[in-house]
Amino acid sequence: MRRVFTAYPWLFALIAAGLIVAATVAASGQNPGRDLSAAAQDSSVLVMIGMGQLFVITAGVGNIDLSIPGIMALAAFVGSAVASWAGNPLVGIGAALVVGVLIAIVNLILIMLIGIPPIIATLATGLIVDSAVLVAAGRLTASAPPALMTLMDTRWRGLPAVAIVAALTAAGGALVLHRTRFGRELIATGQSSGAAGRSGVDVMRRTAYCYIVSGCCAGVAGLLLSSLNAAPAIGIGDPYLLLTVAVVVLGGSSIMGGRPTALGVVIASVMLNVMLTLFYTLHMSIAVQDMAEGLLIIAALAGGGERSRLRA
Amino acid sequence: MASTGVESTDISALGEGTVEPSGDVGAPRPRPIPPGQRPLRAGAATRFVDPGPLVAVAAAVGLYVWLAVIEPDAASYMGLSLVLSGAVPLVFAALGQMIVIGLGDIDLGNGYAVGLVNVLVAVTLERNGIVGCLLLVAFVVAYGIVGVLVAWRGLPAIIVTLGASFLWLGIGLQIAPTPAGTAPHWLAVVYAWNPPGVPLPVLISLVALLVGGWLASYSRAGLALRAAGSNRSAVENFGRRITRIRVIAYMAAGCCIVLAGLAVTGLTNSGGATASSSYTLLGVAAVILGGGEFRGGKAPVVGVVFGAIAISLVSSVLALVNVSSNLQDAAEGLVLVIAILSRRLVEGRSRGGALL
Repeated sequence: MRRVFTAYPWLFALIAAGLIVAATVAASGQNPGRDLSAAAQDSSVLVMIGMGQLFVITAGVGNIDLSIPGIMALAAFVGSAVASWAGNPLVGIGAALVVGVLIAIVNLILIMLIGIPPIIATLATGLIVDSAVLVAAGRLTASAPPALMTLMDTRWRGLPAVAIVAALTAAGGALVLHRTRFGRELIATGQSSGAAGRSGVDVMRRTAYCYIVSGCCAGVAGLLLSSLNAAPAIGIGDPYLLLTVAVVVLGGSSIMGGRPTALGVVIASVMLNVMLTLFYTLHMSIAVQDMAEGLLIIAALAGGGERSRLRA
Repeated sequence: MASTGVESTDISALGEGTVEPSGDVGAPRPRPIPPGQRPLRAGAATRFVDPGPLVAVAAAVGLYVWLAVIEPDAASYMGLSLVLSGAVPLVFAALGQMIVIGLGDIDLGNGYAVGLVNVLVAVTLERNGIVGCLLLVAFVVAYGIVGVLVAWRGLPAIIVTLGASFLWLGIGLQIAPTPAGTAPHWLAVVYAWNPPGVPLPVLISLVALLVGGWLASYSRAGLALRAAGSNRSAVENFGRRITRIRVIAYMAAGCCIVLAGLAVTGLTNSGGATASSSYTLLGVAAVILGGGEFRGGKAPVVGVVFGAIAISLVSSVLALVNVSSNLQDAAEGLVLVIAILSRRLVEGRSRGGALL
């Protein structure tokens, strides 16, 4: 049994998600489809930013990106404004990517040149970006690009477009992590940066790319989320901050780095969101929802999560 | 530079790499120092080189002097009392965070836990003393249980305490969905007291500093905490049960959080489950500014107390120099960066870049 969980670290999250979906179907009677489809939309955004966080966490002990919510909000405003100025949603997406990369570079300057621990460095960057969002919100047009809004409304065989984007992101992430040289070197870096460095891996560069990947994911996710909501908003990413870490670990990846599973991120994102849907269906108060969410995170972890002797 | 030596200490402090462990990691063998290479400053010697609380003290004093220059009233007895009163809850919250970080863990539930205690004190304790006290004891025990979960099969503390934070928030919101309650009479009296000569916040911080500093540096409990944080296997080889140390440490952190919650209630005269959420990250910042390290093994009480005071002074200074409210966040972030940058400069050595 234990060996099965070690081989498939996401199994526990999958079982939990299955049970929750079954409970939702039982609780909502005839029409669970609409609730679950809303859950699919929300979990898609979480998958995208969770993949970015997965790359960063994989890079090894202490690597974490807390500037994701800030990037999401700033990219939403800048991307929307640039898209309406250029009249082309693709330019908006490009602008969102640029925002993500620039903020990631600020993170990297603080982490690598100054030597600030990533948790504090990305937090500080996040605070600075939050201020930029407040300034931007007062000056930039506040409406998501219409083309992207239409795209978000389209469905392909019942799947919302954002879910397909998220699935592609996850598949791409999984390919890069497990099938490319970069991925192998990154995993080696996360397991032991000293050993990886001595065997010729450019540890700093691998780590740097992870923050840039995370910035790009957060930037695009922010723009897509604002298109789902019809308009960018201040604090659009705030609820996702700790969820990104939660989905990485609940999915079975090691918080100590070096053991990523992209599929786990997808499953854990779906699990968290169907759980919120279930709470909504059961008309639980916010307070009870929070308590249940906390208990579930702990239970999922104790039941099947990481059994490393190491701690973060 | 002594790069090989630095990495050997890193590995012993972390326990092991996730790759195959090559033998007993608990007992790093002394390695000969190659000729021409300076010996690594380690162990007791580092303690004298380490700037310790100097950076935090300098930051707190510097910010206070700046404040007093802009606004001379801040230098008076009442001014000092007013300016520093906001720091008291953060001092206690940061001390709780320091205990957990000292073990090599991190507590992401700290802020919401302060909020929960705030609600328990303002709503429950105010109405019914006995039930309120029992609930506060139950809260400290619950913090111990979080410690059990972390110790049990080595679940990552960052996620267990994240899960716990939702619990604290949920329970707090269940008791008081919106800010409610008032401070119990005795607590309001305590926090309204103006002791002769020394403003109350200064007095409280001083007591916290002396008691906490003695406990951390000279008591057996403090020694056990720092030892468990710096080398787990060695402590186990000495026959101390690491689980027990961890549970007691988490309960001690719970007690600090109760003190922080009492302070919030006494100062704001109301109970709100979300009012204290910023203490989690501000507390972590205070610990790092004060000389703590994420890998554990340090309990720098003096630095943490002054670090907490410095961080809470930042917002007072910003308000006085008319920084646009939009830019408050950015200024706080910049101050955080500058504080740690100055620590790095004083220490005069890079600490392995991306590692915590």
